[in-house]
Amino acid sequence: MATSVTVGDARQNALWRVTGLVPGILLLAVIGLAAKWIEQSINGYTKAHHIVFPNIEYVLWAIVIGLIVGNLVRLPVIFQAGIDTYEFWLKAGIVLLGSRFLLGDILKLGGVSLLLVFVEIGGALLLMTALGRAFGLRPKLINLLAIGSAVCGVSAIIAAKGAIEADDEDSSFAIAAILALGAISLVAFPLIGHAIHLSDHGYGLWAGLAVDNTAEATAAGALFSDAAGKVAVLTKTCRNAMIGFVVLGYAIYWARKGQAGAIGNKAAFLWTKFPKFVLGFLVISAAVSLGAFNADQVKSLANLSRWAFLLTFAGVGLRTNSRVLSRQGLKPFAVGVLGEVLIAVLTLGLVVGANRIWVL
Amino acid sequence: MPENTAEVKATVGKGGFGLSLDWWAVLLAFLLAALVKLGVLQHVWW
Repeated sequence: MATSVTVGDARQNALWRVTGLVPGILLLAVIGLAAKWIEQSINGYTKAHHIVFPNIEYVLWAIVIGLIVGNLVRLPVIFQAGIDTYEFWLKAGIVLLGSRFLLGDILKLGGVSLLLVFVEIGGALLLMTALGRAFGLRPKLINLLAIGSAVCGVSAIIAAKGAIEADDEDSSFAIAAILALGAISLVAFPLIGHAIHLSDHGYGLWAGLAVDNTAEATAAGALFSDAAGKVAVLTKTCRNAMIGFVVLGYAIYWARKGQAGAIGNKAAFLWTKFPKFVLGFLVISAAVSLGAFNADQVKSLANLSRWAFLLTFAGVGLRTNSRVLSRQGLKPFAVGVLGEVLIAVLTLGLVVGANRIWVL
Repeated sequence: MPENTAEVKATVGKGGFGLSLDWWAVLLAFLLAALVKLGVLQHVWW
């Protein structure tokens, strides 16, 4: 009897949790669909009236509408849980995006990306550490900023926070700085990419290497072109795969100083931190490479991935809260801005150099 | 350590039912791929 009550309660709780996601997910869908409708309406109008007008992608509209709604409208709390699922849609979208890469492409593209990722991670860690020390930031805050900018933004900071036992204030500063810089990169990267006439491939590689959060890297790539978005996701996925190794290194460093718990099983630690959606991405890619899906089915999978990203982009706009970002400290933000600008220049140099060797 | 770890787990593993968000995303993607393969989902519009 007691067991059935417990199971019943658990089911009811689960059902309640899932139901609680619906309003926010519907809001993401409405914003995403509005963005698509605006893009198609403008394109249809300009074509019908023979007006030359640059194609403004749905990605930008979704982010802009999300920003307006998130910052100007006081959204009821019932929307929050569903809005927070944007990261879930991002990961599902990346797994489905595997359908657009044959394994051979991943090996070729991934090989170049991985090489550049190693250089980027090393350079970003050194740069951020040097800047943080120069500005007199607390050591663990420097580590969080370095990990966030070198690997994968907020996820890396959250993963590192527990491992190095950083305090809440430091991780909030680091997360706010990374989010603010991600929002700036959405505007700056496509403009710079077009201004210096980067190829789709070169730009995608740059966005994947330099933009910290996966959602912003995906959006920054897609804002340039569909092809650039694909490459940005692949490159960013390579960076994400490194999260465990970098966090493990910092965790061991702080454990040796006696300021964090010791790491027992290192393999288990790496597996815990490894982003599992990377495996899903490879499985889907392998299935397509082996001919498990026909051309029409591959197109359907690619389109499902686009729908998932559409919800993500709406969420990126909604969660970019100007009030929260403006409350962060000046010093961590200054270090973040300086570091990110230097990393963007470094990675742009890497991409231009790689382009000369491999003709990307 | 304990309070930090608990908070991180709560944030990262917010998928529920003992699965992380990553695994839930992978499961959904595989389910959609299976539906496409079986012909339940056809000609997905974009």
